[in-house]
Amino acid sequence: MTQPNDHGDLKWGEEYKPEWGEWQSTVQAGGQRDASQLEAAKQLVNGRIMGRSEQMTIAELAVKVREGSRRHLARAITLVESSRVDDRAQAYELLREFRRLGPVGPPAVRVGVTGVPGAGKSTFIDALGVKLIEQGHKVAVLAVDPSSSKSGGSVLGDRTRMAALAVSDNAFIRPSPSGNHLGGVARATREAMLVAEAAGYDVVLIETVGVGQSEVAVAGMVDTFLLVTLARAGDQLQGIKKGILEMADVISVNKADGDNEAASRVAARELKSAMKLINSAPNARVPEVLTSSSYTGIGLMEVWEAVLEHREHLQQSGGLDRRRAVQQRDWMWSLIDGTLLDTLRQLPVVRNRKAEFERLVMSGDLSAVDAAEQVLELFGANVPQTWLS
Amino acid sequence: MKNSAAQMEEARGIVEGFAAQAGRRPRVLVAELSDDNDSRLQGVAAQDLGEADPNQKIVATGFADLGFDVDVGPRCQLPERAAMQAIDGDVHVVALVAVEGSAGGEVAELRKVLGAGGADDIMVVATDSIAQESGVALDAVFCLGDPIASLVVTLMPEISARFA
Repeated sequence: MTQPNDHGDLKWGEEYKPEWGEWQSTVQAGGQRDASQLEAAKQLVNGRIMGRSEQMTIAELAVKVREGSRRHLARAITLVESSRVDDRAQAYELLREFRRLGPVGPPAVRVGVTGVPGAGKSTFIDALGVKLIEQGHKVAVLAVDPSSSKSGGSVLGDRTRMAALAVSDNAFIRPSPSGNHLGGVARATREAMLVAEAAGYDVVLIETVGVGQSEVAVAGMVDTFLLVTLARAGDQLQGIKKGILEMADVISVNKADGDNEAASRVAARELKSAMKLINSAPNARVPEVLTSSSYTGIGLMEVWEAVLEHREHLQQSGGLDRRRAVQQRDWMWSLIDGTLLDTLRQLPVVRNRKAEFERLVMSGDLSAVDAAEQVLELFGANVPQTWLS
Repeated sequence: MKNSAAQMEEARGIVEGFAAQAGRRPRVLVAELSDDNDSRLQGVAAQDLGEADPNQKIVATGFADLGFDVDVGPRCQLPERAAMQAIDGDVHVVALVAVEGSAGGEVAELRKVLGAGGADDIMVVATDSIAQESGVALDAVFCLGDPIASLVVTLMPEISARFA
Protein backbone atom coordinates (compact mmCIF):
# COMPACT_ATOMS: atom_id res chain seq x y z
CA MET A 1 0.00 0.00 0.00
CA THR A 2 2.25 2.72 -1.21
CA GLN A 3 -0.34 5.43 -1.55
CA PRO A 4 -3.35 5.05 0.69
CA ASN A 5 -5.40 7.42 -1.40
CA ASP A 6 -4.69 5.58 -4.57
CA HIS A 7 -7.90 3.68 -4.72
CA GLY A 8 -10.40 6.30 -3.75
CA ASP A 9 -10.78 9.96 -3.13
CA LEU A 10 -10.69 9.53 0.63
CA LYS A 11 -8.29 11.76 2.54
CA TRP A 12 -6.62 10.47 5.68
CA GLY A 13 -9.01 10.67 8.64
CA GLU A 14 -11.94 11.67 6.46
CA GLU A 15 -15.20 9.89 6.95
CA TYR A 16 -15.58 6.71 5.03
CA LYS A 17 -19.03 5.53 4.10
CA PRO A 18 -18.86 2.14 2.52
CA GLU A 19 -21.67 1.25 0.19
CA TRP A 20 -22.43 -1.93 2.00
CA GLY A 21 -25.45 -2.91 -0.07
CA GLU A 22 -23.51 -2.87 -3.25
CA TRP A 23 -20.67 -4.86 -1.73
CA GLN A 24 -22.91 -7.57 -0.36
CA SER A 25 -24.64 -8.17 -3.63
CA THR A 26 -21.47 -8.71 -5.57
CA VAL A 27 -18.86 -9.99 -3.16
CA GLN A 28 -19.02 -13.34 -1.47
CA ALA A 29 -19.37 -12.86 2.25
CA GLY A 30 -16.28 -13.71 4.29
CA GLY A 31 -15.97 -16.56 6.72
CA GLN A 32 -17.54 -19.14 4.44
CA ARG A 33 -14.98 -21.65 3.32
CA ASP A 34 -15.62 -24.50 1.03
CA ALA A 35 -14.14 -27.95 1.49
CA SER A 36 -11.14 -27.23 -0.70
CA GLN A 37 -10.13 -24.36 1.52
CA LEU A 38 -10.40 -26.45 4.66
CA GLU A 39 -8.29 -29.00 2.86
CA ALA A 40 -5.69 -26.34 2.12
CA ALA A 41 -5.08 -25.74 5.82
CA LYS A 42 -4.10 -29.39 6.11
CA GLN A 43 -1.12 -29.07 3.80
CA LEU A 44 2.33 -29.09 5.34
CA VAL A 45 4.03 -25.75 5.87
CA ASN A 46 6.84 -25.36 3.33
CA GLY A 47 10.04 -26.97 4.56
CA ARG A 48 12.16 -23.86 4.15
CA ILE A 49 10.00 -22.12 6.74
CA MET A 50 9.90 -24.91 9.30
CA GLY A 51 13.47 -26.11 8.84
CA ARG A 52 14.46 -29.73 8.91
CA SER A 53 13.56 -30.50 12.46
CA GLU A 54 9.83 -30.14 12.31
CA GLN A 55 6.90 -30.81 10.02
CA MET A 56 3.42 -29.50 10.62
CA THR A 57 0.34 -28.39 8.76
CA ILE A 58 -0.79 -24.81 8.44
CA ALA A 59 -3.68 -25.54 10.81
CA GLU A 60 -1.24 -26.96 13.38
CA LEU A 61 1.04 -23.94 13.02
CA ALA A 62 -1.94 -21.67 13.66
CA VAL A 63 -2.74 -23.57 16.86
CA LYS A 64 0.89 -23.42 18.04
CA VAL A 65 0.98 -19.67 17.46
CA ARG A 66 -2.21 -19.19 19.42
CA GLU A 67 -0.83 -21.32 22.25
CA GLY A 68 2.00 -18.81 22.57
CA SER A 69 4.99 -20.73 21.19
CA ARG A 70 7.63 -18.13 20.34
CA ARG A 71 9.39 -20.39 17.86
CA HIS A 72 6.19 -20.88 15.92
CA LEU A 73 5.20 -17.22 16.15
CA ALA A 74 8.61 -16.30 14.74
CA ARG A 75 8.27 -18.83 11.94
CA ALA A 76 4.76 -17.74 11.10
CA ILE A 77 6.12 -14.20 10.69
CA THR A 78 8.87 -15.56 8.46
CA LEU A 79 6.16 -17.20 6.38
CA VAL A 80 4.15 -14.01 5.94
CA GLU A 81 7.33 -12.06 5.16
CA SER A 82 8.47 -14.46 2.47
CA SER A 83 8.49 -13.12 -1.06
CA ARG A 84 7.96 -16.54 -2.65
CA VAL A 85 4.62 -16.93 -4.35
CA ASP A 86 4.03 -20.42 -2.90
CA ASP A 87 4.81 -19.10 0.60
CA ARG A 88 2.38 -16.25 0.00
CA ALA A 89 -0.37 -18.78 -0.68
CA GLN A 90 0.40 -20.52 2.60
CA ALA A 91 0.51 -17.19 4.42
CA TYR A 92 -3.00 -16.42 3.20
CA GLU A 93 -4.08 -19.83 4.36
CA LEU A 94 -2.59 -19.19 7.80
CA LEU A 95 -4.41 -15.86 8.08
CA ARG A 96 -7.66 -17.54 7.02
CA GLU A 97 -7.09 -20.15 9.68
CA PHE A 98 -6.67 -17.45 12.35
CA ARG A 99 -9.84 -15.84 11.13
CA ARG A 100 -11.66 -19.12 11.32
CA LEU A 101 -10.43 -19.77 14.87
CA GLY A 102 -11.70 -16.34 15.90
CA PRO A 103 -10.06 -13.56 17.89
CA VAL A 104 -8.13 -14.45 21.06
CA GLY A 105 -9.29 -11.34 22.91
CA PRO A 106 -10.49 -7.79 22.39
CA PRO A 107 -8.94 -6.02 19.38
CA ALA A 108 -5.31 -5.16 20.03
CA VAL A 109 -4.15 -1.56 20.35
CA ARG A 110 -2.15 -0.86 17.20
CA VAL A 111 0.25 2.05 17.37
CA GLY A 112 2.74 3.29 14.79
CA VAL A 113 5.82 4.95 16.28
CA THR A 114 8.04 7.10 14.14
CA GLY A 115 10.57 9.92 14.41
CA VAL A 116 13.82 11.07 12.88
CA PRO A 117 16.89 8.92 13.57
CA GLY A 118 18.23 9.83 17.01
CA ALA A 119 14.87 10.96 18.41
CA GLY A 120 15.00 8.03 20.79
CA LYS A 121 12.19 5.89 19.40
CA SER A 122 13.73 2.62 20.49
CA THR A 123 14.48 3.72 24.05
CA PHE A 124 11.00 5.27 24.19
CA ILE A 125 9.44 1.96 23.14
CA ASP A 126 11.69 0.13 25.58
CA ALA A 127 10.62 2.27 28.56
CA LEU A 128 6.94 2.40 27.56
CA GLY A 129 6.81 -1.31 26.77
CA VAL A 130 8.15 -2.24 30.20
CA LYS A 131 5.45 -0.12 31.86
CA LEU A 132 2.73 -1.69 29.72
CA ILE A 133 3.92 -5.16 30.64
CA GLU A 134 3.80 -4.17 34.31
CA GLN A 135 0.13 -3.36 33.69
CA GLY A 136 -0.41 -6.88 32.41
CA HIS A 137 -0.19 -6.31 28.67
CA LYS A 138 1.65 -8.43 26.16
CA VAL A 139 3.63 -6.17 23.85
CA ALA A 140 4.80 -6.96 20.33
CA VAL A 141 7.26 -4.59 18.68
CA LEU A 142 7.65 -4.80 14.93
CA ALA A 143 10.53 -2.61 13.82
CA VAL A 144 11.10 -1.87 10.16
CA ASP A 145 14.74 -1.12 9.37
CA PRO A 146 15.98 0.08 6.01
CA SER A 147 17.80 -2.39 3.79
CA SER A 148 20.92 -1.37 1.93
CA SER A 149 20.05 -0.73 -1.68
CA LYS A 150 23.60 -1.76 -2.56
CA SER A 151 24.01 -5.14 -0.90
CA GLY A 152 20.37 -5.79 -0.07
CA GLY A 153 21.40 -6.66 3.48
CA SER A 154 20.47 -4.80 6.65
CA VAL A 155 21.62 -4.21 10.20
CA LEU A 156 18.75 -4.63 12.64
CA GLY A 157 20.26 -3.08 15.74
CA ASP A 158 17.22 -1.74 17.52
CA ARG A 159 17.18 -4.41 20.08
CA THR A 160 20.45 -3.20 21.56
CA ARG A 161 18.42 -0.18 22.68
CA MET A 162 15.53 -2.23 23.98
CA ALA A 163 17.52 -4.08 26.59
CA ALA A 164 14.88 -3.90 29.31
CA LEU A 165 11.99 -4.97 27.11
CA ALA A 166 14.04 -7.66 25.43
CA VAL A 167 14.38 -9.65 28.65
CA SER A 168 10.63 -9.89 29.24
CA ASP A 169 8.75 -13.03 28.31
CA ASN A 170 5.70 -10.87 27.61
CA ALA A 171 7.48 -8.91 24.91
CA PHE A 172 8.12 -10.03 21.38
CA ILE A 173 10.51 -7.86 19.38
CA ARG A 174 10.88 -8.57 15.70
CA PRO A 175 12.97 -6.24 13.57
CA SER A 176 12.33 -6.67 9.87
CA PRO A 177 14.30 -5.45 6.89
CA SER A 178 12.42 -3.06 4.65
CA GLY A 179 13.60 -4.91 1.57
CA ASN A 180 13.86 -2.99 -1.62
CA HIS A 181 10.30 -2.50 -2.61
CA LEU A 182 7.93 -0.78 -0.30
CA GLY A 183 4.77 -2.68 -1.10
CA GLY A 184 6.43 -5.80 0.25
CA VAL A 185 7.22 -4.41 3.67
CA ALA A 186 3.79 -2.85 4.07
CA ARG A 187 2.10 -6.15 3.34
CA ALA A 188 4.49 -8.18 5.46
CA THR A 189 4.24 -5.82 8.44
CA ARG A 190 0.47 -5.84 8.37
CA GLU A 191 0.38 -9.60 8.26
CA ALA A 192 3.05 -9.92 10.96
CA MET A 193 0.83 -7.72 13.11
CA LEU A 194 -2.11 -10.08 12.59
CA VAL A 195 0.09 -13.05 13.50
CA ALA A 196 1.29 -11.33 16.68
CA GLU A 197 -2.30 -10.53 17.62
CA ALA A 198 -3.28 -14.16 17.07
CA ALA A 199 -0.51 -15.07 19.52
CA GLY A 200 -2.23 -12.96 22.16
CA TYR A 201 -0.22 -9.74 21.98
CA ASP A 202 -2.73 -7.03 22.85
CA VAL A 203 -0.44 -4.08 22.16
CA VAL A 204 1.38 -3.92 18.83
CA LEU A 205 3.93 -1.15 18.35
CA ILE A 206 5.24 -0.69 14.82
CA GLU A 207 8.45 1.32 14.67
CA THR A 208 9.72 3.00 11.52
CA VAL A 209 12.43 5.52 10.78
CA GLY A 210 10.66 8.76 10.00
CA VAL A 211 12.21 9.61 6.70
CA GLY A 212 10.13 8.11 4.01
CA GLN A 213 7.18 6.35 2.58
CA SER A 214 7.09 3.48 5.02
CA GLU A 215 5.31 5.77 7.51
CA VAL A 216 2.47 6.26 5.08
CA ALA A 217 2.21 2.52 4.77
CA VAL A 218 2.30 2.00 8.54
CA ALA A 219 -0.27 4.74 9.16
CA GLY A 220 -2.49 2.66 6.93
CA MET A 221 -2.47 -0.25 9.35
CA VAL A 222 -2.51 1.22 12.88
CA ASP A 223 -5.17 2.92 15.01
CA THR A 224 -2.93 5.68 16.30
CA PHE A 225 0.19 7.21 14.85
CA LEU A 226 2.71 8.49 17.39
CA LEU A 227 5.51 10.84 16.41
CA VAL A 228 8.55 10.99 18.70
CA THR A 229 10.60 14.14 18.32
CA LEU A 230 13.08 16.31 20.22
CA ALA A 231 13.38 19.87 21.48
CA ARG A 232 15.61 22.07 19.35
CA ALA A 233 14.78 19.82 16.45
CA GLY A 234 13.72 22.62 14.15
CA ASP A 235 16.07 21.51 11.45
CA GLN A 236 15.23 17.89 12.15
CA LEU A 237 11.55 18.57 11.85
CA GLN A 238 12.15 19.81 8.36
CA GLY A 239 13.58 16.39 7.71
CA ILE A 240 10.19 14.96 8.62
CA LYS A 241 7.98 15.37 5.66
CA LYS A 242 4.90 17.46 6.20
CA GLY A 243 2.88 14.43 5.26
CA ILE A 244 4.22 12.62 8.29
CA LEU A 245 3.33 15.51 10.62
CA GLU A 246 -0.16 15.45 9.14
CA MET A 247 -0.51 11.79 9.97
CA ALA A 248 0.51 12.19 13.62
CA ASP A 249 -2.30 11.56 16.12
CA VAL A 250 -0.10 12.06 19.16
CA ILE A 251 3.29 13.79 19.34
CA SER A 252 5.80 13.34 22.13
CA VAL A 253 8.82 15.59 22.61
CA ASN A 254 11.26 13.05 24.01
CA LYS A 255 14.34 13.40 26.20
CA ALA A 256 12.52 15.94 28.36
CA ASP A 257 14.80 15.55 31.34
CA GLY A 258 17.53 17.51 33.12
CA ASP A 259 18.66 20.62 31.29
CA ASN A 260 16.49 19.72 28.37
CA GLU A 261 13.19 19.74 30.22
CA ALA A 262 12.30 23.42 29.85
CA ALA A 263 13.31 23.48 26.21
CA SER A 264 11.15 20.42 25.60
CA ARG A 265 8.10 22.12 27.08
CA VAL A 266 8.63 25.15 24.87
CA ALA A 267 9.05 22.88 21.86
CA ALA A 268 5.84 21.04 22.71
CA ARG A 269 3.94 24.33 22.95
CA GLU A 270 5.28 25.52 19.62
CA LEU A 271 4.50 22.23 17.94
CA LYS A 272 0.99 22.34 19.34
CA SER A 273 0.26 25.68 17.69
CA ALA A 274 1.97 24.53 14.51
CA MET A 275 -0.27 21.48 14.40
CA LYS A 276 -3.35 23.70 14.56
CA LEU A 277 -2.18 25.34 11.37
CA ILE A 278 -1.44 22.07 9.66
CA ASN A 279 -4.82 20.56 10.47
CA SER A 280 -6.88 23.45 9.22
CA ALA A 281 -10.05 21.45 8.61
CA PRO A 282 -12.78 22.86 10.88
CA ASN A 283 -13.61 19.66 12.76
CA ALA A 284 -10.19 18.07 12.64
CA ARG A 285 -8.87 16.77 15.92
CA VAL A 286 -5.65 18.57 16.80
CA PRO A 287 -3.06 16.04 17.90
CA GLU A 288 -2.04 15.98 21.52
CA VAL A 289 1.54 17.23 22.01
CA LEU A 290 3.27 16.03 25.19
CA THR A 291 6.73 15.74 26.67
CA SER A 292 8.30 12.53 27.93
CA SER A 293 11.57 11.11 29.14
CA SER A 294 12.54 7.51 28.50
CA TYR A 295 15.34 8.02 31.02
CA THR A 296 13.27 9.12 34.04
CA GLY A 297 10.02 7.57 32.82
CA ILE A 298 8.20 10.87 33.42
CA GLY A 299 5.45 11.53 30.91
CA LEU A 300 5.50 8.07 29.33
CA MET A 301 2.17 6.97 30.70
CA GLU A 302 0.64 10.35 29.82
CA VAL A 303 1.67 9.71 26.24
CA TRP A 304 0.08 6.28 26.44
CA GLU A 305 -3.08 7.83 27.90
CA ALA A 306 -3.18 10.21 24.96
CA VAL A 307 -2.83 7.27 22.59
CA LEU A 308 -5.72 5.48 24.30
CA GLU A 309 -7.79 8.67 24.35
CA HIS A 310 -7.27 9.11 20.66
CA ARG A 311 -8.33 5.54 20.11
CA GLU A 312 -11.33 5.98 22.41
CA HIS A 313 -12.31 9.10 20.48
CA LEU A 314 -12.08 7.15 17.24
CA GLN A 315 -14.17 4.38 18.72
CA GLN A 316 -16.85 6.75 20.06
CA SER A 317 -17.20 8.49 16.75
CA GLY A 318 -17.28 5.23 14.86
CA GLY A 319 -13.95 6.27 13.37
CA LEU A 320 -12.09 3.18 14.51
CA ASP A 321 -14.38 0.85 12.60
CA ARG A 322 -14.18 3.14 9.61
CA ARG A 323 -10.42 3.40 9.83
CA ARG A 324 -10.14 -0.36 9.98
CA ALA A 325 -12.63 -0.71 7.13
CA VAL A 326 -10.56 1.63 4.98
CA GLN A 327 -7.47 -0.32 5.97
CA GLN A 328 -9.10 -3.56 4.91
CA ARG A 329 -9.92 -2.04 1.55
CA ASP A 330 -6.37 -0.77 1.12
CA TRP A 331 -5.02 -4.11 2.25
CA MET A 332 -7.01 -5.82 -0.48
CA TRP A 333 -5.39 -3.58 -3.05
CA SER A 334 -1.93 -3.95 -1.61
CA LEU A 335 -2.36 -7.73 -1.71
CA ILE A 336 -3.35 -7.50 -5.34
CA ASP A 337 -0.48 -5.12 -6.15
CA GLY A 338 2.01 -7.28 -4.29
CA THR A 339 0.87 -10.60 -5.68
CA LEU A 340 0.90 -9.25 -9.22
CA LEU A 341 4.40 -7.92 -8.77
CA ASP A 342 5.81 -11.03 -7.07
CA THR A 343 4.20 -13.29 -9.65
CA LEU A 344 5.54 -11.19 -12.49
CA ARG A 345 9.06 -11.10 -11.10
CA GLN A 346 9.16 -14.80 -10.34
CA LEU A 347 7.71 -15.96 -13.64
CA PRO A 348 10.45 -18.11 -15.23
CA VAL A 349 10.04 -16.52 -18.64
CA VAL A 350 10.49 -13.07 -17.11
CA ARG A 351 13.38 -14.14 -14.91
CA ASN A 352 15.18 -15.75 -17.80
CA ARG A 353 14.94 -12.67 -19.98
CA LYS A 354 15.36 -10.07 -17.24
CA ALA A 355 19.08 -9.59 -17.83
CA GLU A 356 18.53 -9.35 -21.58
CA PHE A 357 15.86 -6.66 -21.25
CA GLU A 358 17.93 -4.73 -18.74
CA ARG A 359 20.97 -4.84 -21.01
CA LEU A 360 19.02 -3.66 -24.04
CA VAL A 361 17.49 -0.78 -22.09
CA MET A 362 20.81 0.23 -20.59
CA SER A 363 22.59 0.18 -23.93
CA GLY A 364 19.82 2.26 -25.46
CA ASP A 365 18.84 -0.41 -28.01
CA LEU A 366 15.38 -0.67 -26.51
CA SER A 367 13.43 2.14 -24.89
CA ALA A 368 12.24 1.66 -21.33
CA VAL A 369 8.68 2.12 -22.52
CA ASP A 370 8.95 -0.58 -25.17
CA ALA A 371 10.73 -2.94 -22.79
CA ALA A 372 8.04 -2.49 -20.13
CA GLU A 373 5.38 -3.23 -22.70
CA GLN A 374 7.16 -6.38 -23.83
CA VAL A 375 7.64 -7.63 -20.27
CA LEU A 376 3.97 -7.08 -19.55
CA GLU A 377 3.05 -8.92 -22.75
CA LEU A 378 5.20 -11.84 -21.62
CA PHE A 379 3.36 -11.75 -18.32
CA GLY A 380 0.00 -11.63 -20.05
CA ALA A 381 0.84 -14.67 -22.14
CA ASN A 382 1.98 -16.63 -19.09
CA VAL A 383 -0.38 -15.81 -16.25
CA PRO A 384 -0.59 -18.65 -13.71
CA GLN A 385 -3.14 -21.32 -14.53
CA THR A 386 -4.87 -20.90 -11.17
CA TRP A 387 -5.90 -17.39 -12.18
CA LEU A 388 -7.70 -18.53 -15.29
CA SER A 389 -11.20 -19.66 -14.51
CA MET B 1 42.73 -7.55 6.34
CA LYS B 2 40.51 -6.63 3.44
CA ASN B 3 37.97 -8.83 1.73
CA SER B 4 39.27 -9.74 -1.64
CA ALA B 5 36.90 -8.51 -4.30
CA ALA B 6 36.53 -11.93 -5.90
CA GLN B 7 35.64 -13.59 -2.63
CA MET B 8 33.05 -10.93 -1.85
CA GLU B 9 31.55 -11.35 -5.30
CA GLU B 10 31.32 -15.09 -4.78
CA ALA B 11 29.71 -14.73 -1.34
CA ARG B 12 27.22 -12.16 -2.62
CA GLY B 13 26.29 -14.42 -5.50
CA ILE B 14 25.61 -17.33 -3.17
CA VAL B 15 23.58 -15.11 -0.83
CA GLU B 16 21.48 -13.73 -3.70
CA GLY B 17 20.86 -17.26 -4.93
CA PHE B 18 19.70 -18.27 -1.48
CA ALA B 19 17.44 -15.20 -1.18
CA ALA B 20 15.70 -16.00 -4.45
CA GLN B 21 15.27 -19.63 -3.45
CA ALA B 22 14.25 -19.13 0.18
CA GLY B 23 12.05 -16.04 -0.19
CA ARG B 24 14.19 -14.17 2.31
CA ARG B 25 17.81 -13.27 2.96
CA PRO B 26 19.98 -15.35 5.23
CA ARG B 27 19.70 -13.92 8.72
CA VAL B 28 22.34 -13.93 11.45
CA LEU B 29 22.41 -12.79 15.08
CA VAL B 30 25.77 -11.29 16.05
CA ALA B 31 26.07 -11.62 19.81
CA GLU B 32 28.35 -11.09 22.76
CA LEU B 33 27.61 -13.46 25.63
CA SER B 34 28.15 -13.09 29.33
CA ASP B 35 27.36 -15.27 32.32
CA ASP B 36 26.31 -12.30 34.44
CA ASN B 37 25.25 -9.22 32.58
CA ASP B 38 24.69 -7.01 35.64
CA SER B 39 28.23 -7.11 36.94
CA ARG B 40 29.76 -7.08 33.46
CA LEU B 41 27.79 -4.03 32.46
CA GLN B 42 29.11 -2.05 35.42
CA GLY B 43 32.41 -1.89 33.62
CA VAL B 44 30.78 -0.39 30.54
CA ALA B 45 30.46 3.38 30.26
CA ALA B 46 26.84 4.55 30.43
CA GLN B 47 26.78 6.03 26.95
CA ASP B 48 27.95 2.71 25.53
CA LEU B 49 25.24 0.65 27.21
CA GLY B 50 22.88 0.80 24.30
CA GLU B 51 25.66 0.18 21.84
CA ALA B 52 27.03 -3.03 20.49
CA ASP B 53 30.61 -4.07 21.11
CA PRO B 54 33.01 -2.74 18.43
CA ASN B 55 33.79 -6.26 17.22
CA GLN B 56 30.08 -6.95 17.03
CA LYS B 57 29.66 -3.90 14.80
CA ILE B 58 32.48 -4.93 12.50
CA VAL B 59 31.19 -8.48 12.09
CA ALA B 60 27.58 -7.25 11.72
CA THR B 61 28.55 -4.81 8.97
CA GLY B 62 30.58 -7.51 7.28
CA PHE B 63 27.55 -9.80 7.07
CA ALA B 64 25.23 -6.97 5.96
CA ASP B 65 27.64 -5.96 3.18
CA LEU B 66 27.32 -9.47 1.79
CA GLY B 67 23.54 -9.30 1.75
CA PHE B 68 22.65 -10.81 5.13
CA ASP B 69 19.96 -9.44 7.40
CA VAL B 70 21.78 -8.96 10.67
CA ASP B 71 20.34 -8.82 14.18
CA VAL B 72 22.66 -7.29 16.74
CA GLY B 73 22.40 -8.32 20.37
CA PRO B 74 22.94 -5.98 23.32
CA ARG B 75 26.26 -6.09 25.17
CA CYS B 76 26.94 -8.89 27.63
CA GLN B 77 23.83 -10.83 26.75
CA LEU B 78 22.87 -13.81 28.87
CA PRO B 79 22.82 -17.02 26.79
CA GLU B 80 19.09 -17.58 27.29
CA ARG B 81 18.38 -14.02 26.10
CA ALA B 82 20.55 -14.46 23.04
CA ALA B 83 18.68 -17.69 22.31
CA MET B 84 15.37 -15.87 22.66
CA GLN B 85 16.48 -13.11 20.31
CA ALA B 86 17.69 -15.73 17.81
CA ILE B 87 14.35 -17.53 17.98
CA ASP B 88 12.23 -14.36 17.80
CA GLY B 89 14.16 -13.15 14.77
CA ASP B 90 14.09 -16.66 13.24
CA VAL B 91 17.76 -16.39 12.33
CA HIS B 92 19.69 -19.09 10.53
CA VAL B 93 22.95 -18.52 12.39
CA VAL B 94 24.20 -17.11 15.70
CA ALA B 95 27.71 -15.65 15.38
CA LEU B 96 29.49 -15.17 18.71
CA VAL B 97 32.18 -12.49 18.75
CA ALA B 98 32.93 -12.53 22.48
CA VAL B 99 32.10 -14.49 25.61
CA GLU B 100 32.69 -13.04 29.06
CA GLY B 101 33.00 -15.67 31.75
CA SER B 102 33.41 -19.36 31.07
CA ALA B 103 33.16 -19.77 27.33
CA GLY B 104 32.38 -23.48 27.52
CA GLY B 105 29.47 -22.97 29.90
CA GLU B 106 27.92 -20.07 28.03
CA VAL B 107 28.11 -21.59 24.57
CA ALA B 108 26.75 -24.90 25.83
CA GLU B 109 23.95 -23.01 27.61
CA LEU B 110 23.09 -21.15 24.38
CA ARG B 111 22.86 -24.44 22.51
CA LYS B 112 20.77 -25.96 25.27
CA VAL B 113 18.24 -23.11 25.34
CA LEU B 114 18.01 -23.08 21.54
CA GLY B 115 17.26 -26.78 21.63
CA ALA B 116 14.66 -26.37 24.37
CA GLY B 117 12.96 -23.69 22.29
CA GLY B 118 12.68 -26.06 19.34
CA ALA B 119 15.47 -24.27 17.51
CA ASP B 120 18.34 -26.73 17.46
CA ASP B 121 18.62 -26.25 13.72
CA ILE B 122 19.96 -22.71 14.24
CA MET B 123 23.69 -22.88 13.54
CA VAL B 124 26.20 -21.50 16.04
CA VAL B 125 29.56 -20.11 14.91
CA ALA B 126 32.21 -18.37 17.01
CA THR B 127 35.64 -16.82 16.92
CA ASP B 128 38.63 -19.13 17.16
CA SER B 129 39.42 -18.00 20.69
CA ILE B 130 35.89 -18.79 21.87
CA ALA B 131 36.09 -22.14 20.10
CA GLN B 132 39.39 -22.97 21.77
CA GLU B 133 38.25 -21.93 25.21
CA SER B 134 34.83 -23.52 25.10
CA GLY B 135 35.57 -26.90 23.60
CA VAL B 136 31.90 -27.02 22.49
CA ALA B 137 31.21 -28.27 18.98
CA LEU B 138 30.51 -25.35 16.63
CA ASP B 139 29.18 -25.23 13.08
CA ALA B 140 32.09 -23.05 11.98
CA VAL B 141 34.95 -21.04 13.42
CA PHE B 142 36.22 -17.67 12.23
CA CYS B 143 38.94 -15.19 13.17
CA LEU B 144 38.15 -11.58 13.96
CA GLY B 145 39.90 -9.64 11.24
CA ASP B 146 39.49 -12.34 8.63
CA PRO B 147 37.13 -11.65 5.76
CA ILE B 148 33.53 -12.47 6.63
CA ALA B 149 33.17 -13.50 2.99
CA SER B 150 35.15 -16.70 3.56
CA LEU B 151 32.97 -17.56 6.57
CA VAL B 152 29.86 -16.90 4.48
CA VAL B 153 31.10 -19.11 1.66
CA THR B 154 31.70 -21.87 4.21
CA LEU B 155 28.32 -21.47 5.89
CA MET B 156 25.94 -21.04 2.97
CA PRO B 157 25.81 -24.65 1.72
CA GLU B 158 24.61 -25.86 5.11
CA ILE B 159 22.15 -22.95 5.48
CA SER B 160 20.79 -23.78 2.03
CA ALA B 161 20.53 -27.44 2.89
CA ARG B 162 18.54 -26.66 6.02
CA PHE B 163 16.39 -23.76 4.91
CA ALA B 164 16.06 -23.46 1.15
